[in-house]
Amino acid sequence: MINYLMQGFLIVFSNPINILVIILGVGAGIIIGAMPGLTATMGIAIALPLTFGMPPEVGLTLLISIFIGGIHGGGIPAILIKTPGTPASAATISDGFALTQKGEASIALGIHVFSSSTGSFLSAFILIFASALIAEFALKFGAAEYFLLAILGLTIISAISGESTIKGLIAGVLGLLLSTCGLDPMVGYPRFTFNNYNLMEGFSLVPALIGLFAISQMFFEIEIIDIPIVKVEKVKTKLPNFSQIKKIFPTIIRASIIGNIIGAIPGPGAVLGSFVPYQNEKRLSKHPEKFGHGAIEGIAAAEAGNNAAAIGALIPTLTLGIPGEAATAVLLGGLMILGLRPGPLLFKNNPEIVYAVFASIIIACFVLLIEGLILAQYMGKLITIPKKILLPIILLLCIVGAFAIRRSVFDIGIALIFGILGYFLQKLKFGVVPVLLGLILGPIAEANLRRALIISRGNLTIFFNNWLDISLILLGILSLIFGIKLSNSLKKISKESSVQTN
Amino acid sequence: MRQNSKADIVAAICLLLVSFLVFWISKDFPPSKTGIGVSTFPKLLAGVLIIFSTIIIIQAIKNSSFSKKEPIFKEFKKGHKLIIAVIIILIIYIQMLEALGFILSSFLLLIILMFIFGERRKIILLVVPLLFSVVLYLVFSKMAMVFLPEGIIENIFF
Repeated sequence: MINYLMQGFLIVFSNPINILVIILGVGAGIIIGAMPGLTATMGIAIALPLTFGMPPEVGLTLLISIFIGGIHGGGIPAILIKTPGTPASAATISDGFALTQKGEASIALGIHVFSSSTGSFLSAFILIFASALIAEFALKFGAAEYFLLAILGLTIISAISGESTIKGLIAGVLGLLLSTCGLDPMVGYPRFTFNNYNLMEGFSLVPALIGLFAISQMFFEIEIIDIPIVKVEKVKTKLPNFSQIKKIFPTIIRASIIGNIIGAIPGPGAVLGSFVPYQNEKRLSKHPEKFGHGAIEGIAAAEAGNNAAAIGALIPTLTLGIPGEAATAVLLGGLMILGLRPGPLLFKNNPEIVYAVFASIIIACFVLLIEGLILAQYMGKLITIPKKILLPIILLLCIVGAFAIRRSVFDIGIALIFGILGYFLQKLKFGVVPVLLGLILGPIAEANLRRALIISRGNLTIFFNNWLDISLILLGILSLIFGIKLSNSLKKISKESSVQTN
Repeated sequence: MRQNSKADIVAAICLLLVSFLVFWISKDFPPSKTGIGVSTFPKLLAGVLIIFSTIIIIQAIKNSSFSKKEPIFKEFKKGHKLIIAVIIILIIYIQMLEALGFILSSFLLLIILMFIFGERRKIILLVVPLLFSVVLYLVFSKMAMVFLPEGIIENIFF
């Protein structure tokens, strides 16, 4: 593994483009994350078309760099204007904004940058070790197990994504149903194409994804466009001094480990990844009364936690092909577009790509520290760009992105329709992540199902005549029940902690 | 419960309609000898969707007391009108894109969107759309080799 990682570093450093991509990706991520209303998920969705034609490891590095930068950037407006740039930074508000009110925004921003990058760095090592272990275990899987694993992933994500289990499952089934549009995978009969040539290949992934995750988000922003924007004074960032670092370092280590584990569990994602470490530090602290009034440990816990969770979420995404939440689901779509099949096979067939990406993540943590320090000073200006100017430009970017993959005006329409669908699904709390997963997994699932049933001449017992399959199905049902219970209790924790911290 | 039961029922009815539509369309799909054919998977999914939607409707009816007057969507605010306007504008944009070319249609799109979102300063209404439509065209068509639709302006200037 160490050998592979060294090779990864060699690959990254042998081509200056890789470093450039990390610098651009992290920078763009910070800016996107810092603008309230624009999320890391959206940034990844819009950047997807750009990766088309890039070598897979470069494209993947770009997307992950945007993800890391985006989660970090969300903390900047949380500190400066009491508005989290991404939901994951909500826990940063209480102490970050308290410091700003005391006139110490520069200290808050410095602690923020330091904890984000250190948290990412520690979490990256957990990612590398855990992924190697899981991938090695999963190599024992055969084709049938991969299929069951894919279905298992879809079920778990569906069950915990919506307001209720049933709503999430509906979203998942809807995604699968949408995936049946186009030529059928076995005999090539056009289904639900309405004689439209453009639909022969079904819905393209990129426009669907831009619609579900970027355009729908635009609609939510348009809805609240009248909310006035707060003015921000210019601030400088100040790196923490030695005594401050000594004070927050144990916090960062604890927050990184907790954040990473929470991030790796499908469902709760980066939001809880910041709240849980925050509450934990408050509980452990000798001066819990300082939390909420500008405690630097509070900022450190929240920001190390959410960045660690973001990187932790990569573990199930890369090793098993099961993304935990929206950003990694879009990332999974990105992997497919880059021609990579996420899951254990990725580690077996393309270890050089995986470890080049791991090396890039480690480099990205350092880049984050430097760029975060520089960019934070200009963010005050950027986050006050009025929505009435910003939103039209982002919409145009979505349009270009949807068009780009197939050079198709029709695809812009697809993105718009999926945008409207995504808006209603989120409004009614069905969730959009299962829809995307269903779209991605649908063709694979159908082909496998039909192949199996043709072999058995329609006899359903083919799925139960092998002990390995039966135990996988049982494992699936168990983890489904466990997953739902876990997500419910975590949801409760997050609700309680958000009430407490506000 | 904080969930909006009537909106849930409307959504579930839409899903039921979609499912029935799937059944209706797939009855024309070619049959197969084994019984597992082109229409099996969509029908299976539509069937599951019908069951789930029915559960949603039953849950919603149980949860709500219909005596209370609960609007389907909480209120129809200015924001919702804006969203509908944006959707209509985007549909027109899609229709015009090939004929007008990327720069001209995107320039107009940005001006109109910024205007309906409330921007009134003339300089900003001109400079920002001009800048972004031209720069995006150059970046994608000349650098990234994603050739955006061309019209009069692209043919004259680039």
